[in-house]
Amino acid sequence: MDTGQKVSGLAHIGLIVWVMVFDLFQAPDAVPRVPVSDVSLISAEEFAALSSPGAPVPAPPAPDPEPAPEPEIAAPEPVRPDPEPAAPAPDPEPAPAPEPEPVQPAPAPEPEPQPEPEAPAPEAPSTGGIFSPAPTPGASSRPRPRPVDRVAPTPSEAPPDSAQIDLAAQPPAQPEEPAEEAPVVEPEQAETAPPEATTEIVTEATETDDAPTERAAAAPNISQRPRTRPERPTPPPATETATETATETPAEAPRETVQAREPDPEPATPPSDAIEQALADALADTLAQEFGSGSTPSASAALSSSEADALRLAIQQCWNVGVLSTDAQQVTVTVGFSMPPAARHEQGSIRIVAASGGTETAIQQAFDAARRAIIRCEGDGYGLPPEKYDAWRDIEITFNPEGMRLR
Amino acid sequence: MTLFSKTLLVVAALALAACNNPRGGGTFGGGGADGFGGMHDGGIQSGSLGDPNDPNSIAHFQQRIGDRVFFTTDSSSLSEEGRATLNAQARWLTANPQFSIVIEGHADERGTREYNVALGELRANAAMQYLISQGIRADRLRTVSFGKDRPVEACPEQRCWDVNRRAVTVVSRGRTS
Amino acid sequence: MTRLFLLLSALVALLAPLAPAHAQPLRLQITEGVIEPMPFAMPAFVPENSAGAQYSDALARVVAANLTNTGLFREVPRDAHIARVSSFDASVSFSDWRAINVQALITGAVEVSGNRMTVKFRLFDVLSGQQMGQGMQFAGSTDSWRRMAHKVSDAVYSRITGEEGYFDSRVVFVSESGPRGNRTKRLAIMDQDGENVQMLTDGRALVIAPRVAPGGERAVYTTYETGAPRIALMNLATGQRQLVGDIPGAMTFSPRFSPDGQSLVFSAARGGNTDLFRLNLGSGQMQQLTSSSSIATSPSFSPDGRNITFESDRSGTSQIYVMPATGGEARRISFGQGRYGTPVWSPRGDLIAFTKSHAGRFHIGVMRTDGSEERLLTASFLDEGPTWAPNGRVIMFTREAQGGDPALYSVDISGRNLRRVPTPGPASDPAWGPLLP
Repeated sequence: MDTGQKVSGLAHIGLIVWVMVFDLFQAPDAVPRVPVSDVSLISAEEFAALSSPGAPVPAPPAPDPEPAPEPEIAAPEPVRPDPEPAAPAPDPEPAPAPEPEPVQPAPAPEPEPQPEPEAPAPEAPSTGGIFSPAPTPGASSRPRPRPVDRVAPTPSEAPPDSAQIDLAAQPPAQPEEPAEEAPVVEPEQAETAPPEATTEIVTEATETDDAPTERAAAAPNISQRPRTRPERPTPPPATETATETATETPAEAPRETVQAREPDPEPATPPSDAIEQALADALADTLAQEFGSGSTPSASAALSSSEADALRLAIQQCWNVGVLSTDAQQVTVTVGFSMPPAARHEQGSIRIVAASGGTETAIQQAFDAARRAIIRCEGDGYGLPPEKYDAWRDIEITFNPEGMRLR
Repeated sequence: MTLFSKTLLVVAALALAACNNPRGGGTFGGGGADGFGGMHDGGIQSGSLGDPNDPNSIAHFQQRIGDRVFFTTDSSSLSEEGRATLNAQARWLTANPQFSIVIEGHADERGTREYNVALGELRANAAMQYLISQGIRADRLRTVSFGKDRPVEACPEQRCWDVNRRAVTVVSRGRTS
Repeated sequence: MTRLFLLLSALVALLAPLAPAHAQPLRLQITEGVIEPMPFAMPAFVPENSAGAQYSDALARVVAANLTNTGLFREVPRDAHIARVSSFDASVSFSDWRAINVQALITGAVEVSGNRMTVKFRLFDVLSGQQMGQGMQFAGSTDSWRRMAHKVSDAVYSRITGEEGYFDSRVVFVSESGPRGNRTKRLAIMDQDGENVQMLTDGRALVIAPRVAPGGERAVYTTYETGAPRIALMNLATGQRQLVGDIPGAMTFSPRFSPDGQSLVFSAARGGNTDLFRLNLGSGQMQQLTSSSSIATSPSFSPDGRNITFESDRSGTSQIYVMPATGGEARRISFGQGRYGTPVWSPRGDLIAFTKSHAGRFHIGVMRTDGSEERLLTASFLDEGPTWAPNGRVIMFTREAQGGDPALYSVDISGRNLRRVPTPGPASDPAWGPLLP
């Protein structure tokens, strides 16, 4: 097992534990938000009456306050849960130099969000506190994600200064994409890079884990060049599985050695081309049997799964659930739209097909976010194969934020 | 307990108290020792601390008898040392009935503010109950808790926290209100 | 075996997109999105007369700062703007905003006559080229220009996120000065963004742990003006105060309002025992809620007024409990490692924020009201005393760096966007008031 696998495995476990323990937005909000009325005029008298008592007199127009300085996020703050039971051991006034004990919380098996077929065994698992329902986040010794503004399914490094941050142009290679077509590996092409992202929200408590030196070492001083990405119409090659699933893969992680041996985060991904081929054959058979000749889609009409995946990935990259209310994050909305052959959405065609799980307002917020995703990432077109236009003329996408609520 | 060991304890307690009294013979109002304006709203009492060598002076009480006892983390149990100090205090207070007594309870800064107010009260009360058990009349005694807001030493280190977890016996002439 | 499983699941996965063929729409499922700040543009407000010009920039800056401070939005700086907004009613050239990746555009206008001002704004979804909601207008005195910017911010925030805003709100806190061993502590109030600080007490008496009434018009706090801890009730508009909740021989502290503002729950310490009491402010009637021989403090009502969460060391260490607001059996809800204190019920009712100390570090965290799903949001030498923003999405607290002065910080309930709240000097014990009407 090489370093890349270990790092990836540990990061996955960390993510899973995180997801299990901190699905903060899971439960429905008891009180639905009242929508803000569209028009509201307050008279001068009313406003004055409301604001006058005790309102300190400002000196208008005072210069705007500087935005609050970023708190010392960079300062590493070592904290590890130690395995002492929470039994009565009153110690409110701890020793001056508490020695953190490196202990990992017991990694619980959790199928979501990405099962790992060959997860490396966690090192020195401990049961931790006897009844600690929630171990300190990020208590494992895996590399810690940096606090970055963006949380995305696939982490990306900080782009080099010269690279333009461009979400629309290049969907990132995804490990779960089966390659059905000849992999096209192109050396460094356009300098586009996705914005820096982590796979989970990094709280201060998360990152208090590593010793300063460790962290310093793990943080790449110079960000890697963005990895090569295939042209959009071409699905990412199967060998391109080195996509960093580790949350803070140090720059020195040898990409070349990861390749196909990287444990795939999704069981759906065949480990090799041979199996891929076998699958394709088996699939054809199954299709023929299950659907009968009459309903078997003609190859030319249907999008391949990788083509559909490419579209899905392109849109999900732009689906920003961060600004959604906790109510709207409960809403699963299906959005329909049409595309002309240029593979950009047709003006005015984006509509709600179905929605569940929220108030009207929450559904509207959820729809707004979905619509932004569709429009924002289309760029010059989604690059779908023109010969299969019938298959993607009309599209319905179900946006289900369940997985994102957990982050 | 032999006379000798008693004496030894008292001497030890005195020495300790002298070491741990950072105020030395500093200025001192009539009321709260740790910087507070006293138990009486508004009015300022003044009084001489006197000469530490005068066994009936406040200065003597503070420096020679020892006006404070210390506690371990999150605890209000009196230590052996603490009891010795309080024994000496009780003797002095019995001999000087003209002084009224306020016991201030304090906590170190390693806790939340309001919990520490409660903890300070617990400590002050422990010292008060002990003095009562040594024959001090309850109506001479009062307690107050400052929680963590009046540290005697302000440093983010164990040595400071250790001296901040304390109950201080503050004596003043006249009655408590 | 594994192979077989892989094969089967792959089959299922591959079948899904292939099955719908022909005229059926292509159906996709998206479960993975991103969380990132939404880029917005806030050009200067259009001055509708010459007197309005002096506010046009300042208003825009306050709105932009508010939105940026949430961590949910990112301002596209003005020097990147291509389009100029010279008239409030002119049509918006969305392509110019799209070109610089703006997703939300706010346009505003301001008119001033004498000391009266009128502020208008519109919000646009740049990607779809649509206005979000109708335009809004606020009128008031020029003295309250910041509040009008906060109102605009609240409306924008609310329209985009669906959450209620919290910008037009104020925070009562303790302003500190002087040497550590003998701090001067004064009660103070400021806008949520640290502006308009005003002192409420003169600093002669030590004050700690204020809380704001649900209506925002009063505050309650612990004062040492009699020499021992006592509870004071202050009218924030007039500054008038009175001591309440006198229990002879007891120190009273740690007060908090009930959701209806009619009563207080607080701690009273006497005889080495600290219990919770409830005081009806109207009738003066008092009721003892706990009577255990241990410390019970930092009580906080649930927003429905039915329950009280508090901190107690009855188990040996400080832990968090929940009991009926009328007293009765208390149920422990915190079971993690370390000590828990200062529980505060979220205004939404779904979470309890708390302080946790463990292994020499302090954390602010949140948990469900049954104690499940504990999540630590911060970690430092000393973090304590969380208070909720009126929308229950942001928490403010006191942080003291090792050897440093205390300061106020805020953090999102997801643990993101930790930032310092500017105060003129050392500050502690924030108490977030309600959204102003």
